[in-house]
Amino acid sequence: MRGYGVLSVLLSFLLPVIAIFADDAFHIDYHHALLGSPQAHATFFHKPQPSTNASLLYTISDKAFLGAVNPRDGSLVWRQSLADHPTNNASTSFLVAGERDGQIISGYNRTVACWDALNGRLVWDYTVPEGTKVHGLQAIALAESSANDIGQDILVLAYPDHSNAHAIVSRVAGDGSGARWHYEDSSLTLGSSASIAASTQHVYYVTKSHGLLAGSKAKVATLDSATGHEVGQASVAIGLEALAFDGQYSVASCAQSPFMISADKSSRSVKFNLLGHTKAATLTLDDKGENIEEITVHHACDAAAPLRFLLHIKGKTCQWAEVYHVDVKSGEATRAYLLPATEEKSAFAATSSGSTIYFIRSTESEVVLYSSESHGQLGRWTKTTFGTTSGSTPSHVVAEVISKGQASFAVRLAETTPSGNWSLIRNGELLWTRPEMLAYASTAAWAEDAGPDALAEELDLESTVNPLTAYTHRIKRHFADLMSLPGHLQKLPENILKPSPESDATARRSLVGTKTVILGTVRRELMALDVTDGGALKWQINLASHMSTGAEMESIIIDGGKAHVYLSDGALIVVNASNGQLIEHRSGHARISKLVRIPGSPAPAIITVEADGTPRPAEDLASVQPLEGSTVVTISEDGKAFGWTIGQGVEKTWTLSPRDGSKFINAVARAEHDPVASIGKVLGDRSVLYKYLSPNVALLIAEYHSDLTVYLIDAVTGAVLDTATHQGILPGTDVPAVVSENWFAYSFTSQDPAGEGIATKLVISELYESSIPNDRGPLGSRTNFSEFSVDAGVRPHVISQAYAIAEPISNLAVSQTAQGITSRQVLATLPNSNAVIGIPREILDARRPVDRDPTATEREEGLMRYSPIIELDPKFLLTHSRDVTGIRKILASPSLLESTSVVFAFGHDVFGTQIAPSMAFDVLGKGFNKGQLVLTIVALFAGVMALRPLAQKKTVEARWR
Amino acid sequence: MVAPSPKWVAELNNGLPAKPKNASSIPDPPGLSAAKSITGKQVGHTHSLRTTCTDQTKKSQVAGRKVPTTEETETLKLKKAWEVALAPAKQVPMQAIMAYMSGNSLQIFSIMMVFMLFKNPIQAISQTNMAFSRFESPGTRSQMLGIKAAYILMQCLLLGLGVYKVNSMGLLPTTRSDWLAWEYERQPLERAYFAFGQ
Repeated sequence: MRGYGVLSVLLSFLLPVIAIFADDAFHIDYHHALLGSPQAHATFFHKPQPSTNASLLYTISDKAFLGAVNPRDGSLVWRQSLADHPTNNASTSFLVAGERDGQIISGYNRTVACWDALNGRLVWDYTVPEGTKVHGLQAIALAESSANDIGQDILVLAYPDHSNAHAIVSRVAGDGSGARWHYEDSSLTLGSSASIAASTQHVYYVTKSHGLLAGSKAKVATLDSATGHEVGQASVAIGLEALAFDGQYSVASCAQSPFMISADKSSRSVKFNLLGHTKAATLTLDDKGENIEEITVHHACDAAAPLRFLLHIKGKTCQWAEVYHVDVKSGEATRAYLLPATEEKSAFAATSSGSTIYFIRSTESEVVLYSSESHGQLGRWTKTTFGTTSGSTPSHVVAEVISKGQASFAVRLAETTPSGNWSLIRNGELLWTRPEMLAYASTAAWAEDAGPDALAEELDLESTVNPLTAYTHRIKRHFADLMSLPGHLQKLPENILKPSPESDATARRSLVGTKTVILGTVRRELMALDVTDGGALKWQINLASHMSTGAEMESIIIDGGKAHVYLSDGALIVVNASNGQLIEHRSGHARISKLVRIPGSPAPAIITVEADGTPRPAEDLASVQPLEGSTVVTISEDGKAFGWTIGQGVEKTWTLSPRDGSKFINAVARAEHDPVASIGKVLGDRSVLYKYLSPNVALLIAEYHSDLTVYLIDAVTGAVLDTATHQGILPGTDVPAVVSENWFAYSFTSQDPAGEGIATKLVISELYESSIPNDRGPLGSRTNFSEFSVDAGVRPHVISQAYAIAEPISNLAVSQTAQGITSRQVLATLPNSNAVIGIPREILDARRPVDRDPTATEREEGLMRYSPIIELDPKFLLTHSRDVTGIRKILASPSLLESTSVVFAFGHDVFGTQIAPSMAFDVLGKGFNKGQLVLTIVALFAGVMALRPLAQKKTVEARWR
Repeated sequence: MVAPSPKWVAELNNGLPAKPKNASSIPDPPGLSAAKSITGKQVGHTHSLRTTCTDQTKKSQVAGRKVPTTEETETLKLKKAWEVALAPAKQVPMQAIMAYMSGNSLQIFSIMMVFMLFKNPIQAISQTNMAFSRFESPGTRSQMLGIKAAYILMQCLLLGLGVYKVNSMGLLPTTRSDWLAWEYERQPLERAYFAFGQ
């Protein structure tokens, strides 16, 4: 037993060494390449190449991202942004898959674009006339024999934006050679509904005017598919409510026979009309004694399959479905069968495989496959490997069915849940989940670190009591620790022989610590991400029921384990930061635009700021007295800055209005946690240039047409410490800025007034107490000072330098470490190359000598000769080869290691990494070989043991000599 | 049968063993009787040696070597003491050249050199009394003080060289930057908070 123990201790030397390595790319960083929430009408499985059997999952999200996802593992194959500007509500987008030519055609805003389905390259695009938007997209199948392997032409409906424009139906050639014909409808009034449908011979253009007098008839114009001439017109009775998506009456499509369907919920009937027939049939729905809330129609999209559709009826308490078969010749629809009503909410999908149509019902707990022929179940799978996510009833599903022999089927189901997850279920088994709701993140805050360490608490206890008690306490603690030793020793050999794959990650986490970010989305959700664990979702809560319409999440403040979410209408929602449980909800009274937290007694006080810049202590914390004498700086919506003294009341102390006409567009101050390790900069001759360090400086950026003025102010007195003006700013470009320590940086894009050249510049300014080394200014080495004292009004010595960079920057941030010893990196978002870059601060040094080589002392300081252009070295890219789009904000936070800063970026994609700007100096590097060390020690020990008798013999002999 | 006598008994009876050849040049310590070394075999040889030896002493005694007076001895001692006291000064140029040659970078050679530059003088100063103890006599005591002071001064010269070397290596906290860590950031009494949004 004793030998075993010794062996275990020896083996413990071989345990994997805890270390972080410099080349951790793609190990410590993670990236969620997101699309946004997929839209039901623009999501489908499709084979990108007719020759292969593997299909991809295509979608247009409501953020107007077109993307292809590999159904095997959920990885993004390609994506394209259809919108010029970020949008969150792109409902009128259209997606059509080309038959047998490997193309995908999208329609959004004014553009119809054809993409290569395999790699997402643009094949051609077509723009509808000005004043109109794409409002319908249909494929018109061409005869098999047509040239160029192009399977279809595209039918486009352009719907007018304003009353001067007309609705236009165009047939666009599938090879991108432009429109074949146009059909213009000038009679369409704004607000009325219009839709299109196509069969092989005819194109149907369905309009229904809007208003009370419009009646319940729709006008159907039949156009010749080849020429676009009107060949007939009919008026067809319809119901009150259109069932096709987006309030359209005609349904699709890809089937040979398009039809119109609409419903009258109150009379439980559905009006059906096969286009081309004048008569509308009324289908009476099964009476379950229920109020019908919603009806949706599902049909398969295959030319070879017979026309069948499924009506999904959502009642108040139960949901069921009715399947109809359509006789194409007579235009009659007959109910084939009913699917049972269940209380569980379901989602339906229709899909075809060859000429067979299947319907799939997906509920919270199971997936059922039906044939379109009869109500018999072809397959039934219980959903497994689902987490304990509540409310995972799918909001919509798309499916793919593969028939494997007689009675064996495989079903792949892509489900979108209301919580924003997009997951794939194969035969009831969850394959992957994409957290698409992360694409909607708008605000974020670092959650506090996990509660205090148990050991730290014990040590604190020992330091407070008398030494003897502390000693006995420590002895007891060590004995308690010893209890776990046998178990640990027994597990050792196992740990060494079978290291778990996550051991590296867990080792790393124990060094870096756990960091959590709480994100608020525009979808009114709040969620927590573990940013040190690959961005895993910790919890998610939907706050929509607690938020009034129009309210947005303004700010998240985390304090004492609670996340306080302040809404723009002044309401407050308090959530437990560790599990997402709602604690409290207070409705608001006044609109707030900004929020600031200042220290107070007994707890920090929240000051809300109105749109005109007036601060007000938050009502919910009436008992909290803010610290008197604090100054609050606000920016009003008309672009002025104010300073307010918080005391018994709120009093305005200063106002700063920029030059006539200009407005403050951006304002930054030092971060709350911005430690400075050294208060001076040591020069080459070992003298010190003292840094101007004040927590009260703020950088205000004012813009007026193409002029940019930067003000550095002392926020307590309102004094302007420094200004800089730049001309020729390109309007509409970002002017990001960052302030840290004794420096600030900002970037802007400007146009050369003489030439047409556009350049992006990054300006860095460093503030020093004096231009003379070893001088601390009139205040000397005093430990504190009042901003209003006579000596305090000295302006800092500012050294500025501008650098040109190759591309615009949309966002700036700075790395943060616990003690500020590590040098800094300026983190910047590069929207043009979809990347996040970390520029070392040593390169961006304002003191680099201009037009001369550095002297010996300057070289000793590490200063290089100034070069006006900074090459953005690909090695600086924190995102490496990834395509990280839509980053709007970068957050940096210190980790437990001084060398390492945790970086988290969000906006559309979510990206996170850990950076070590001064290299990982406080952890063992990759060069450390534990095996070698152990072997050396063992060899030395063995050598000593072997030489011991020899040496003993020698000493004895020497004595006798 | 009588047991053979132990080795030490035999050695005691036989006197000292014969000197090895290479040790023959070393004179016997004063007071050691050479007669003891007589062994049976070498009697004739040693006898002749002894006679020459006694002849010499006789000669010197005959020459009447004048025994030095106390004053003479003291002058001699003082001379010797001054020599010892000034010896470190002779080291200074050599040490200076070595210091120059070893460079100002922090390497094992220069560090060892600096260490020796400090260790030797300090050790020497602490052992001053011991170094001069053999020159000490009641008559020289008063003058010895000045000699010791000169000795310490010389050692300090070496020490100064060490200090200069350390300074040129940049190890002495003589510049402002060396005391930067003890200077603190000034804290403003008023604090501003910024409502600039997240």
